This record gives sequence, structure tokens and C-alpha cells, in this order.
Amino acid sequence: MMLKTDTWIHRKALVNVLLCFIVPVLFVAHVHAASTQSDFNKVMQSMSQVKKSFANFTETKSFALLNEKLVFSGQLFYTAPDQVTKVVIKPQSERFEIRSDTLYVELADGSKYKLLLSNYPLLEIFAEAYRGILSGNIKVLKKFYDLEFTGDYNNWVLTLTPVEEEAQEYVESVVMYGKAAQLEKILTLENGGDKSLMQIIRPARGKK
Amino acid sequence: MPGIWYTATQITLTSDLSQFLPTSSGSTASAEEATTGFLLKELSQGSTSTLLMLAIESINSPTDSIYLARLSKQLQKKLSSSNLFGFISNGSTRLSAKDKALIKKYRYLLSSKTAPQNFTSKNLTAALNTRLNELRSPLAGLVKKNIAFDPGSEILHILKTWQPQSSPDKEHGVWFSQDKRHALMVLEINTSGYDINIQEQAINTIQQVFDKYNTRQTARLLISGPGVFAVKARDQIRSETQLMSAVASLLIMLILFIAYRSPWLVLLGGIPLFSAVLAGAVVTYLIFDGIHGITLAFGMTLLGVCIDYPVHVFSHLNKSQTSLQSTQSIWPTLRLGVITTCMGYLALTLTVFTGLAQLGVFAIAGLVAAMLVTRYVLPGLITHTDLKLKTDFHVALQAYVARLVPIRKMLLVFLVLAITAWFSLFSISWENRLSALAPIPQQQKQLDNILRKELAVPELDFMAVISAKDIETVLQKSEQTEAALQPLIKDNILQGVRAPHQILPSKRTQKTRQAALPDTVTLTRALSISTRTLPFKAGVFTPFIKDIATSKHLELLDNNTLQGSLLATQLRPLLFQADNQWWGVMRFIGVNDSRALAQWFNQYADNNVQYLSITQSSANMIQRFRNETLQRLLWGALIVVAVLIAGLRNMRRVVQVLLATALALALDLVVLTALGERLNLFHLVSLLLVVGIGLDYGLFFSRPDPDSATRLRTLHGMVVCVGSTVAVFGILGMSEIPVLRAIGLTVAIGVAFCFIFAMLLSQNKPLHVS
Repeated sequence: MMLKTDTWIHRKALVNVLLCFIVPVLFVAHVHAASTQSDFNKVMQSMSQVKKSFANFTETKSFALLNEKLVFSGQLFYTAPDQVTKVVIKPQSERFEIRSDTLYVELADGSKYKLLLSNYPLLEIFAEAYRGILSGNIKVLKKFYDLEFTGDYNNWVLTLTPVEEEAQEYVESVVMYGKAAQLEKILTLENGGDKSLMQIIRPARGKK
Repeated sequence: MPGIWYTATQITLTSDLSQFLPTSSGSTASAEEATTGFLLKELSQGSTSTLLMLAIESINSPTDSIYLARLSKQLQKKLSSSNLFGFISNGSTRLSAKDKALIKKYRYLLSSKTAPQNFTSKNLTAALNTRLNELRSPLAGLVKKNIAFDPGSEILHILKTWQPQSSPDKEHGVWFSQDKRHALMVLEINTSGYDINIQEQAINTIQQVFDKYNTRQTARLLISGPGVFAVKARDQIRSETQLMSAVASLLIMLILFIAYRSPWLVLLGGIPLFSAVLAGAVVTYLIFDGIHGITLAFGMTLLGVCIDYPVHVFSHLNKSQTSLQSTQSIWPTLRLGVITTCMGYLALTLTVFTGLAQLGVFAIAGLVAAMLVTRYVLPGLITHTDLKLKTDFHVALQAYVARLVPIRKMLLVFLVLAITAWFSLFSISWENRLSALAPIPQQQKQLDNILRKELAVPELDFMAVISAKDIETVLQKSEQTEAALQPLIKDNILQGVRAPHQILPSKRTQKTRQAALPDTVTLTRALSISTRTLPFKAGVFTPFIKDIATSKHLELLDNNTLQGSLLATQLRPLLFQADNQWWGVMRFIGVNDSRALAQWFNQYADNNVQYLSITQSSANMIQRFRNETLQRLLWGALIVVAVLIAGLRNMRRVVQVLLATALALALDLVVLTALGERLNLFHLVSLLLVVGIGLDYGLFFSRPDPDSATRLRTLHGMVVCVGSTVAVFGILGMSEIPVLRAIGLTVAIGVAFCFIFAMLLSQNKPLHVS
């Protein structure tokens, strides 16, 4: 049966060809995915190893009801596992500290008060976003956000989209940019077009 | 003794005492006293007496605050669904949509910041700058929605002023103590009256729900509040009196049995007492259309003398007479004794105090019933009269007393001098505090103080009460009073007040605020000036301008508009209508110097505002009550003397009886004060019992017995009487509970003295032993 043999050879060749192309592609894709996955894990792991850090920041906020952007700057302090302090220096002196489940506020006029994060979902998701990334805690981030990681270990972008509907009313997404274990930029997109961009600058000699 | 048992279990002192007070229809009561009485009744049934404070702590350290917080939330959620409770606060309660809408709509009328200067361009600029700062901060998301219509942040200001001055810190969403070791909660029990049973039910429910959720068993619940004290006191009294009643009853039966060797007689002995109580209750109920708990309790104590009547009958039984005959022979003495005592109590029935009047009627009806039963019913039931009474002891006693007869005049003079000396040196100290009658264990009191401070629950004891014909006046006066109190708050005499106008401002204040709001043109101009240098877009504040314009013509907020909101619930205990008047209650928070506060109110010239200290008012009332009682008793004493003279027709006997009783009373008081007792109402009523018994003993001892055998029988009866009375009341006197100890000591000591003096004074000539 000459024809049959031909078909069979054809099929085999086809299969071979396919295998030659598909398998590598699959293999590469898998490796790529794995490496993206592992890059993310590596980033988070490196982050989690930093127990204390400090940096300068400049933040620019734009609001629908304002015709100008608000700019302010200061310093950020982090102490593992759950303490983040934002000290505003310009234009006036203020201090916002998140410790465990409370936000402590100290204003320029000296007034102080504290707010319980669980009573203010908006504050809570921001707090957990900062804390989650700085402590390299994937579980915490996943609790509040859907995560999308692009780039690689040395140059990555992590996009956080809130899981809770209530939170989605305030925040559309939080996009974090970083290099290795260093957070460089946080871009917050809020409902109604309001935006906030925080640039984080390590001091010249990276303090540990 | 059932009387004592009943006394102890049914007493709820504060409310019961207030019902003892004259109502405003009493002619001898001044208007102020009537107000005080009415208020005490209202307020003791008001919400603060139904507050409970809870603390949840970890049994072992370290404190597992997350677990404690979870328990707190679960407890709050579960208890909220129960009808037993009004509001429950543990810091996690939020305002309802209706509350938020109300606050938003009326914010310019509610906010104390509403004043003309707030709407100048200068102040608007300052406010807007603050908003910009908030926008820069992490709180931006919370604030930016409200800026358009509330740039002055009135809503937040209002919410802040409604928070108690110092509200507990929060951890994990709920209130925690300063040391972070206790989760805290405040609840209000839903009861319109001071009903101990409902309080107990509430407390038990809380404990049950807590135990259900405390699956790890690592946490413990602490409860405090007036309800807890009341329930604990009642339980303590109840358990102790049950024990004592049982022991006392057994003791009486034992004594009767030892004396008469006849179980049947022991049973018969209870009949006069039983019929006395029944008769007393029925007659009082018929006349007064009801009977008061304390009356029943006091009354039954007074009827304790009814045990003695059958004893006299039994002791006089002998084989040469029928029971009827022997009873008839002592009948005159018995009758006179009862009549004299009843005459004494008659004076009580003529007071304005319903409680006293009821007491008088109860006692009289009971005594008469007991007397009649003893005379007419008892003899018929006695089966045999040949009791072989052992009288050796009595003979010896007679001989001993006979030896004292020659020196008794000297003895008496000495005693009289001693008593006079004593009372000139030491006066009777009267106990005016209600709290002394139901003492709270120190540990419990400490817990209560700590929780009260942590939760900023207002003081229970003092408050200012404002009364007027209409709400508006009450609210205005409330505002004026708070304003006047500011200097004291600055001086830290108190931390603050909780007053009705803080939730519902008077219409006058609301109108003033409305007038302070600028008109649209002025506001727009001021806004445009202030926003010139600020980055706000044009037109952002249109909602604000619109709301101000609406607020200027808003119908004023009143009590009805608030209905159904959390605000109404908070307002209710502070503003209510009763007795055709409106009442406002101003409570004080964190009082550091109550005397200075009281003094300040003394000088505060406003007739509608009255400072009230519940303990002080109760003390005043107790004093009035006591003075009235003493006055009546004095009249009663005179009547007794008259009746004795008429009944005995023998001055010598009258003197013997009266002297014996008087001496016994005096010495009783001496011993009580020597023991350090502060005399309260229960001592007073017990003294009435002592007098009743004293007269009885005096009459029996002083009666001219036909022969020495009869005399011995009389003595036998007397010994049984005094023995049983002293035994029973002596047991009571050993109790820790003030009520029981007061009654027990007074009667035991008094009756013993009555016996001694009655016997000593009445022995006319030495008898030969037969």
C-alpha cells in the first residue's frame, strides 16, 4: 500500500515539525513564566530581608477639584514588619505613622489623633499596600489586591487592583515601580481621575 | 423566721424607700421635697441605674488582644439582637444612614462653630487651607468628597463634640483600657423600672453568651454596675437568711419541745403568728389597696412578739384547770399587753408617710388577730393540760433575784446615772446613708470606679435637674448652665457635662445660628476672595453655597424630627416629659471636687435648675423619715402610759412596767453604741419590737399571781419567751449583713434587758420556795 505509507510518513513529519516548534516555544514560554514568577518571588524575598529602611520622597497629587497639583516632600521610614512612617517636611511639618492597626497623625499645628485602620477601608488598603511591598509579604498583598507583575528582577512593575468592591470606589489601582529590592515610584490612580505619584529617592549611600 | 427571710429577699432599697415618701399631695411636704421625691423615683428608674459596664480580660498573660477584641465584637452583635438591651457600645458602633442624613442636613444648626466670623473671607481661607493640608495627607480620600458642600468640616466637628471628652482607645476595632489589657463595653438594660429580676436576667444572659463564644476558655468576663451590686447584695442576703431562717426555726421548735415535751404544742405555737401575718396583710391591703414590700418586711419583724402569746398559754396549762380556764386566767394580762402595744402603734398610722401608716395598720391588725386566736382558737386545740414542766431552774432563778431585791433601788439609781452619763458623753450616731445598708465589697467597688473612669460613664450620684413647662425653656437653661460651668471645667473641678442641648440645641440657639449664616451674595463674594490664592477650581463650592442658603430657611430641628435615630436614643435619658412638665438632666463627667460643684450650684441663681445628689437626698429623706417616726413614737408613748394607767388602775404596776421597758431601751442603746453600731431604720423598727415585748414582759411579771405555783408557771413561760427570742435574734445578730445584724442585735440585747428588769422590778416580796 504505497499511499498509506506516504500518508503515514507525512503525518510523522508533520508531527515532528510541530514538535520541533511547539515544544521549544512551550518550553520557552514556561521558562519565561517561571522566571517572571520567580522574579516576583525574588523581589519579594529581597524586600522581606530588609528590616529597616529610610528614604526621601517627593509626592505630587492632582485632584479633580483643584486646578493645580499639590506637591510635598519628606522622608519615609520603614521598620519590619508593620511600621511605616511618612514624615512630611515641605511645605509644612507633618507626620503620619502606621503601626500595627492604627494610623497616628501629627499635624503642623501640634494636634494629634489616631484612627483605627479597620474603620477606614481607604486608609487600610493603602497601609497594607505599603506595608505589604516593603515587608515582601505576598499574602498580605493578595488579601487586598489582585497582583500583576511585569518586568524582571532588576526592573519591575507591580500593579495592584483592589479586590473589595468598597475599596474600588476609592482606588482604581496602585502601580509600583522598582529595581531589585528598592521601591522607586508609587503611582496611585483614584476614582474620578485623581492621581498621586510618589518618587522615592534613596539617599546617596543606601542605608540598610 | 419567715419574717426575716422575706425582709431580706424583697428589699430593693432605693426605689422602695422613695415610695415611702410623701407624694406632692401631702400637706406637710414642701414643694422641693416633693420634687426631690419624684425625681428620685424617676431617676432611680432612669437609664443610668440600668447601665452595665463590661471588661474582658485574658486569664493568663500575655494579653491576647485580638481574641479579646473578637469576643467583644461577637458579644456586641449577639446581644444587640436581644430585647433585653437598649444601646450597646464597644467602640465599633457606627452611625446609621438616617443619623448621617440628619447630621448632614442640620449641620449648620447643630454645629457650635456656626457664627458670623466663620464666613469671612479670612476664616474661609484658613479653613480651606486646612482642607488642602488634608488633601495632601493620606486622609485625602476621606475628605475630598465632603469639601464641595462642607468646606468648614462642620460634620466632623459635630461628631467630635458628641464623643465623650475622653473616649477609650481602640485596638482591633473595639474599646480597650489604657493598659490595653481589657476590652471594654457599655450596655443599657431595657427596663423602665428598677427591676432586680430583669437586671439579673440581663447579667446572666451576658455571661451565657460570653461563655458560648469563649471557646478557647482563655478569657474572663468582669461586669459592674448598679444592677450587679443589687443582684449580688440580694443573693448574699438571700443565701444567708435562708440559712439563718432554717437554723432559727429549728431552734425555736427545739426550745419549745424542750420546754413542753409535746410536738403537738410546738405545731400549735405557730398558729397565732401565722394568723397575725395573714390578718395584717389582708387588712393593710384592703385599706391601702396594696401593700408595700418594706412594710411587709418590717411588719413581720414587729409581729415576732406573737410567738410569746401561745407560750404564755402553754406554760399556764395545769392539770387542775381546763385549757380554756387557764387561758382565761392570763387573758387580762395578755389583752392589756396587746392593747397597749397597739395604742403605741396607732401613732404611726397617722403620718403622711404611707409606709409608716401601713406599718402601723399591719402591726395592729396582726397583733389583734394573734391575740384573738390565742384566746379563742388555741385552747380548743390543746389536747391535754397535764404538762410536767421542769421548774428547778426557775425556782433557783427566783431565789437569786430575790436576793437582789433589797439592793435594787440602789442598782436602779446607779443605772440611771450611768446611762445619763453615757449619753451626755456619747450621742447616738444615726446612719443616713442608704449605701451602708447594702455594702458593696471593696473589690467590686474598685472595679466599678476603674471602669467608670475608662468608659467616661457619667457619675451616678450627682446631676443637675432642669424643670420647666416646655422643652424650649429646659434647653435654653441647659445651655446657660453649661456656659456658666465653663470656669469650673477650666479649673478642673469637673471634666465636662452631658446635657440635652448638646444633642438638640434650643430653638433660640438654632435661630441665632441661622441668622449668623451669610446670604448668598455675601458668601459668594467672600468665597471668591478667599479662593483667589487657592488652587480650587471655579464652581467647586456651589453645593456649599446652596446648602447655606437652604439652612437659612430650614425648619428648626425639634424632638420629633429626631425620632428613630441614634440621637433620639441618646437624648431620651436627658430630656423627658413627666408629671405635666419637661425635665432636663445634666450629668457630670469626671468630677474631681463634688463639694465645690455642689457649692457652686447652691449659689447659682436659677429656680428651674436644681442640683441633686442622690446620696444626699436619700440621706435627707431618711432623716426626715426618722424624725417623723420618733415624733410619732413619743406620742405613742404617751398613749401607752394613759392606757396602762387605765388598764392596771395601779400606779405601782404602771411604774414597774414602764421603768423596766425604759431602762431596757436605754441600756439597749448604750450597748449598741458601745458596739459601734450606727443606727439605721432597721434599728428603729427593732426598738419598736423591743418595746412591745418589754411591755408584755413587764405586765406578766408584775401581775399579782394567786399562788406561787402560778407564779412559777408565769416565770416558766417568760423564760421560754426570752430564751427563744434571744436565741433567734442572737443568731441574726451574728450576721455580716447590716440589715440582719441591726435587727438581731437590737432585739436580742433589748429583750434580754427587758426580762432582767421586768423580773427585778416586779418582784414584790421574797417568795418561799414551794
